[in-house]
Amino acid sequence: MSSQIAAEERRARIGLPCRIAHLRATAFGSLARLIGAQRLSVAYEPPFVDPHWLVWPSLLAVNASVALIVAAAAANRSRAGDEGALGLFYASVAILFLPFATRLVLPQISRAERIICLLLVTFALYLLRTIRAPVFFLDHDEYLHWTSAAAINETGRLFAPNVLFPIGPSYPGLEIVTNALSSLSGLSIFAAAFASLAVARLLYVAALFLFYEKVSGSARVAGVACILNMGSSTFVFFDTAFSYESMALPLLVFALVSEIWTADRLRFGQKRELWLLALVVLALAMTHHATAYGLALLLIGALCFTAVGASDGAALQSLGLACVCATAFPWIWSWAMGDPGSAYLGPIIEDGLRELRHLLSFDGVGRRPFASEQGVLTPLWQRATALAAAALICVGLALSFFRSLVWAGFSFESLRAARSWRSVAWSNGWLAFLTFLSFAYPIGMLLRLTRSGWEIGNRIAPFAFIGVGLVLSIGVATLFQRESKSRMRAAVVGAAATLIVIGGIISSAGLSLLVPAKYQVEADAGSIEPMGIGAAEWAKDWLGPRNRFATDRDNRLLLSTFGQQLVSTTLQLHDDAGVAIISRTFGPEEVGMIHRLELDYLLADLRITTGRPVVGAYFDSATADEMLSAPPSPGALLKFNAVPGVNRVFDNGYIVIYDVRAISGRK
Amino acid sequence: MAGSDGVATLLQQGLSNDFVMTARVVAALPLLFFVPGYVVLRSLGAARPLCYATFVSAIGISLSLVIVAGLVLNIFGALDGAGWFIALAPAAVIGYLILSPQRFAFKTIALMPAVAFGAAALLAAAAIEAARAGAIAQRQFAYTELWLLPADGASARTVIVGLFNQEELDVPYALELRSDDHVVARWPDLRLAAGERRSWIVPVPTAERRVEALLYRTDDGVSLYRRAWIDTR
Repeated sequence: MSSQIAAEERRARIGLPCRIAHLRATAFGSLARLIGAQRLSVAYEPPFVDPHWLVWPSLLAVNASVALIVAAAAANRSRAGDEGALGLFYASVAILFLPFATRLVLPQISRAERIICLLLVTFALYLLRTIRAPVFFLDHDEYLHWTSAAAINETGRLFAPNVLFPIGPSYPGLEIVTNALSSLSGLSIFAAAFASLAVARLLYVAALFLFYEKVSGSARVAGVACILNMGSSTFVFFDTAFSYESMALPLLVFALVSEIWTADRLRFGQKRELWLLALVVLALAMTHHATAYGLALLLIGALCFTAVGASDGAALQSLGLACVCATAFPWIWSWAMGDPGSAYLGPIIEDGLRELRHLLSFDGVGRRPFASEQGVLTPLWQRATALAAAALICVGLALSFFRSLVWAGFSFESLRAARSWRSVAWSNGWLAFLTFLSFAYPIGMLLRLTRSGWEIGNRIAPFAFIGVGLVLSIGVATLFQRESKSRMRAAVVGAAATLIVIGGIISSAGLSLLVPAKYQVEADAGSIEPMGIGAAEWAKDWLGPRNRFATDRDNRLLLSTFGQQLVSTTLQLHDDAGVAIISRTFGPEEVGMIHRLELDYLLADLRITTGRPVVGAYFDSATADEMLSAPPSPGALLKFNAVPGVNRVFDNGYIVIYDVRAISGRK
Repeated sequence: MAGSDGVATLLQQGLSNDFVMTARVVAALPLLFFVPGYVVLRSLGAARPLCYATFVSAIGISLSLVIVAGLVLNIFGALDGAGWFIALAPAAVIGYLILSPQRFAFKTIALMPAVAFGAAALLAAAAIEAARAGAIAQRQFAYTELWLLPADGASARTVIVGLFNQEELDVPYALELRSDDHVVARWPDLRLAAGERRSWIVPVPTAERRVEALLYRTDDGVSLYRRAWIDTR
């Protein structure tokens, strides 16, 4: 009996670790299956030819147009002061996007249908920008580029100084394309910009599809990846604005796919396409500094991952040559232009990293998410949507990361038995690199929690989403949808993609998406309205162009574009003309400033006395703004009434223009 | 009769202007965004058949070429219509020569998708037009502009005084032009329709030091509404 008990105890002692080991193995196995580190279901590839490939896209196009009508109604209701307009606008985005996303997730549709669906949804999303700003530009940066484009149209030459945006003329790619279309067609800069950016936007998605298809080897994965790429916070509005990155990003994606085509050609000993790749990289270097450097980093990353993995010589040769071009051309261009990028980008990067360091050490200097400079919080439903979208992306990345590596050829199962790294390493260096690139998404999210880093985090998004889109798409194709033709499953993925897109728009545009009914102080889109434009046009018509003006931030934009005037900024000269405008008295300091800045006119907008600036600054975030802890007083702005020699030449009840040439000595 | 002739001429001019503009846009878009890239692809022997990838390549290379061509045109100060035409016309000619022998096998689109795409285009255009109308109609401020400037731009022996009614309704005004302490000119019953703009050139006595324009609105009592002034010396 005792020996029986002893035997059972022995079995139990032996059995317990066995059971634990078994449980552990089971748990790890389940986890490995969940995250996709063990095995990969091969995604179903659709038939290539479908005789009815236009039927669904045409119906979805009608649906998208109906959604655009809803969006237009929402924009108009916002202009009329309806608080529910923003919700209606986001609903229109969902109506537009969800059917396309659902259709593209389905495995049984043809490549041609995927392409036409992608181009249609891209163009429809692009039209949302036009519905938001159908008559004139709305965003601050658009006016900076408009000034440069107008100078090219006027003089027929590049590189005319732009006091609002000193670095802009050094990167004139966007303005050149706009000038070409405007000059040949007779369109205004606004209309030419709309058409040029539409072509650029379509090129972006068209080239991205080809790039993803080449990297993943699957049209289905490429289509879904493009749809998920649209979840980048900058995709719908920021990167469609009349701003240089809107032209640079399509060139970047086209350069990526050109690099892969070049590698394909090199395998057959053909080197001619290298010239084309060099041409694209040169055009990109002329268009936008940060995107050009971004291309260099992407290519260097891909080169490293390709070199580490099991790859052929043609891929390495092509990537190596592309890296040389992508590194050398932006540097040479920047050097030729007098290195304007260091002074522009340096402080932004330094401030962002410093604030991120403080944030990580809990020093409490971070930015309050979802709050404007005035402390106004984004509505709860919008915050919840944006956070849900971010959470969805993070969960998706966790579940798809290893699947993507396995898709790239990495073998987890033979990892233990492997004798060398190359025997298990990926065979697809580009895909492996893009998989790791998706880590840039959480880094960008962290940067968004800082004041200066928000800018960097927002700009990182399009780069991060090149990886995020593909990794999530592989997760969709291998984990969730797989070979299933279920429309319900596809609709769930489509709904998730729609949530990600809407979350992206919220985190980028926030409260300033639609034009409000009432004027807002220094709010860019909320401040640019017909009366301010009318005053600027009056200046052009009655004072003539190119007078020197001092005024606040948003009137400066209007005066330099609609008014064709020269405006004073601290970017050009260190004196802050805002000090002369807001100081309560008019003394020798103000006289000296007007004299030094050689001002002809001052435009005093009394509306800025009614509130704090929405974007955080009345002028240049310099001396004048530091002096103001509250809105400036009307008396301060109107002090020129009592100054001998100052003429009050224009008055519309809100905006007054003073002629100060007698003081500056320019009369 | 003369009136109807005038209307007909205006309509004709408008139509012809619209037609010319449309024709220029239709010609300029492929000339800028497709033809140069396609010509380069063909000349390098890199063009695959006119498939999706070739189409995308042609657009991407065209954009790049236009940007680099802009740099070249800048040397001659020729970033204008003539400069661009001279730069791109050879590409257009070569493109025509390359493309014309080809027989594009455009597949006929079935009736249903064609009708649906047409309807979608019309609806999208309607959406943009609705947004445009809403944006144009939005007026956050109702106001009147008053201005006063020396007529010759400097000495102010004569001045220009102007008004622009943006109150969105007809408004009765009284306008007074004072020089030092006496009235130089006066418009006691001035009525401007909504959107109407008027200006007057008024001589000013040379001995006066300051000219001031005072605008009153007379529909809500006589209150000073706008002021502008200039020193005449």
